[in-house]
Amino acid sequence: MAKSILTVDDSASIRQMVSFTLKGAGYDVTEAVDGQDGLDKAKSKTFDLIFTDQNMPRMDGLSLIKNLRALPQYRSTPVLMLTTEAGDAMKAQGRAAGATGWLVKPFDPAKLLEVVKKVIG
Amino acid sequence: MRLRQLILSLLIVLAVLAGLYLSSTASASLTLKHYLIVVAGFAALMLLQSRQSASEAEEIRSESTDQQLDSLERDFDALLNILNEEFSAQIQSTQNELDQLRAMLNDAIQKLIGSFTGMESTTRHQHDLVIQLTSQQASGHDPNVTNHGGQESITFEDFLQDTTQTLNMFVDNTIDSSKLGMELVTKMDEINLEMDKIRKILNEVEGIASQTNLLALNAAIEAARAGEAGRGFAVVADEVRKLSLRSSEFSNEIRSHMGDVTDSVSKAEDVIHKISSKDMNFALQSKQRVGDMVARVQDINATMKTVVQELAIATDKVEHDVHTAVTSMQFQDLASQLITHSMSRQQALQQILSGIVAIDTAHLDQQNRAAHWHYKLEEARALIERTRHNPVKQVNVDAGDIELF
Repeated sequence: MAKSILTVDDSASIRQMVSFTLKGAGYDVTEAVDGQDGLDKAKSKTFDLIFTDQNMPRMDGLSLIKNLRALPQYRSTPVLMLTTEAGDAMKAQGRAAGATGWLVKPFDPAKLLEVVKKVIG
Repeated sequence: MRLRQLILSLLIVLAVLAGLYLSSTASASLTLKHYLIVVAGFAALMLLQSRQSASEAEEIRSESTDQQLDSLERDFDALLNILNEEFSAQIQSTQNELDQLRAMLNDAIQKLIGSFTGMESTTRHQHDLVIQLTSQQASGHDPNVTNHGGQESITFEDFLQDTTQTLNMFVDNTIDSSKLGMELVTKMDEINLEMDKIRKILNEVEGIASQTNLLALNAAIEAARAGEAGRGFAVVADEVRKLSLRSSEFSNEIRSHMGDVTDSVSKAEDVIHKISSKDMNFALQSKQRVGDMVARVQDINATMKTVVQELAIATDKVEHDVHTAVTSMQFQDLASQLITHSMSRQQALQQILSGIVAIDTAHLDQQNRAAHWHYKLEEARALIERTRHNPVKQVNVDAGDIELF
């Protein structure tokens, strides 16, 4: 059965590009439009991997990670930040919140798939 | 005004000093003294008048300055209001244009993604079809492809090979049949020769029967001549003659049957000869044609293999281009975030200016005004601080860094 991945981003084009890349490699991809939508969808179904943007309306990426880590089913699930933010201070906040890794936009599809394979196989 | 007062003061002092001097001298006339006193008095009067005028002028000037200041303040307020309105209108227009730009970018990227994914899907489908076709043509069986009956499909090359094998078997059998036919013809010739021999033997048999008949006839004559003594011999001679006649009948009967056999053999020989010679030509031509076809198919297969190799290279290039396109098309997100950030900076500027105008037009006393200025300054600093962080540092659409914690 295909591994399931949730991609959370307020940019429709990024969601489409992530879905396009991951679906092409055989993964089952679900999209969420912001942190709150991502949290709701993560509660309704357990995902193997989550990608999230940082700057989003209603709930940002770091808050989403903190909320996810509070849920038993997401204590050890890989959550990768995919954002334009590239500052060390922000990365440190991400690491402290429980992020598994940090990818700076724009992403290269081949490298994105490499990371996904490394993280969930 | 001050110079006039100074001159008048100096004139009074001079008049008084001159008066005092003339008083001390007896020679001075009384009229001159009086004249000097009048001058001093007039000067003093003028001085007093001048001072009063100066005082009045000062008052008038002060009132005028206040009026000018009030006027300036009103003008300044009006100017600030105009500036605020104009600035707000400009910022609103800029924000509307940035919104328009963001919407256009969003619309363009959606169409671009739709067209791109459609193109990629079509290219992938095209590639799969070519691979399917070429693998069937060039590489033999494709276990993933089955026909409608669920059976494993066969390639065109397989079909040709099977056909060639079948045709070869057919040709070989035909050649064997032809050879057998020729052998049959030879055998038929041998049979004819044997038949001729039999005919000769039959001729001899007929000759013997004829002579036997003649001898039997002679014997019967001799028996009749012998009379009663030859009666028994005459019976034997008669039987011998009958046997010779029957022998001749049998011989004729055999000759007749042999004629039929000879005709049949001759006809069979003709038929076998025709069949064997006709099938041989047809089979040999078919074999040659199939051989040519197989050679052409092998050429096509060699071309197909080259095409497949070139297709693999083209596929790698398409994949690389797709990755570059996917990376580049993320420009819309970066541009959109930059536009949003730029708009938040403008909103902060507008908010700060509106705050300043509100203070100036509030008609507050100096103390309250200072307190408001301080508050607005702090507010402005906070606003500026909030908009200082730019979420997009990228200056191009090269792929960003990846870091796993």
